[in-house]
Amino acid sequence: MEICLSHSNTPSLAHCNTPAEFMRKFLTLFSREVTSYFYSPIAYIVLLFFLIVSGVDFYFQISFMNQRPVPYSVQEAFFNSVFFWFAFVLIFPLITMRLFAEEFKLGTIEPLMTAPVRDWQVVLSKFFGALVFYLVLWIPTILYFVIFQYVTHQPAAASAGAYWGSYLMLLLLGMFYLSVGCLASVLTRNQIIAAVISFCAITLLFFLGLISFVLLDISSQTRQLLGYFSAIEHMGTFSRGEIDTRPIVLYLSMTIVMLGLTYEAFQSRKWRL
Amino acid sequence: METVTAPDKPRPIRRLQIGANVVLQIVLLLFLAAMVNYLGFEHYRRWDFSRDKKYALSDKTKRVLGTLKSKLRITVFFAPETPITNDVQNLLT
Repeated sequence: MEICLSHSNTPSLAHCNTPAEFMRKFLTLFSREVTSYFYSPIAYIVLLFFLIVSGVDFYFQISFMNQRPVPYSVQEAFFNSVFFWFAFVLIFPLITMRLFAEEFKLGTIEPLMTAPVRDWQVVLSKFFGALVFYLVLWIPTILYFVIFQYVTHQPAAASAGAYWGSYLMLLLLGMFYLSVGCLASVLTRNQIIAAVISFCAITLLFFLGLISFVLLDISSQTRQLLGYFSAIEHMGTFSRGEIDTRPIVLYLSMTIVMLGLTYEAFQSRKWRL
Repeated sequence: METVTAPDKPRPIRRLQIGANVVLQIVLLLFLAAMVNYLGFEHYRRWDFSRDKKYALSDKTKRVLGTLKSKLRITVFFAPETPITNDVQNLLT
């Protein structure tokens, strides 16, 4: 970690309060997080696994649509299939389990916590590092649609808005679930436990909306409330090219809540017994 | 030259006070998030960016709806295998 120099050229911590200084420290931590992803073999295994599943998903959707007329586009089918759901729910524990748990286990958290950086800088850098890796996972899927259009000379989506909607929804859902994973990882020093906690929480959150299919005799208010939290429904709406402000508010606010809880849990190392 | 005094015994940290502070912060955070979500749920906007605007009401429909004086209750019956069932459901939610 770096120590900033004050005007008298003596190392001091009291002069580090300018926004530029904060930003520089954040960027140092952030680049450390991003590069550490690509130094570990897990990143490439996750990338490969994800490419296989999303590729199979894409292939299945196309061969299904080849056989019968369907009222939706390839892009809609791709983002709303069971294949997509399973791969989607599984990648978050894999990405986030090591964030804090590994540092606790290896003891590298001690120099990080005694370094002249704020705790929230550490939490945010870990979160955004994971977010960058998550976005890298999705980049190849854009290629699928490009190749599809090149080969078949057919539009893969009904409109450009459908692309924007579905990738915006991926970003929002990704932010929320990655922050859930951050919280799970900060609670334990065992990566497997962190993965199990976040997998359980994310699966329940993601499939919450399906309750309204199980319980048929619920009031329309409850149904509306369940719809408000239903990630599957949000993905359906956004991938059709409809932009709704409700999920945007929900996921941004819940991300902030989860990161706040992560921060408190991380900082509690300093005062709890 | 600065005089450096030896620090006396480290003061014990007040765990109870910090703990209460953290609990208060968490409660405030949750309360704020709940309020934001309540407002977001009540006041929302929705834009249709699909090409044929299949999921938005047409201007004609909006004009008819604008002329309504009181609340109107419409009951629609659909067989689930009708091809437009899904579209109607999407439009009504």
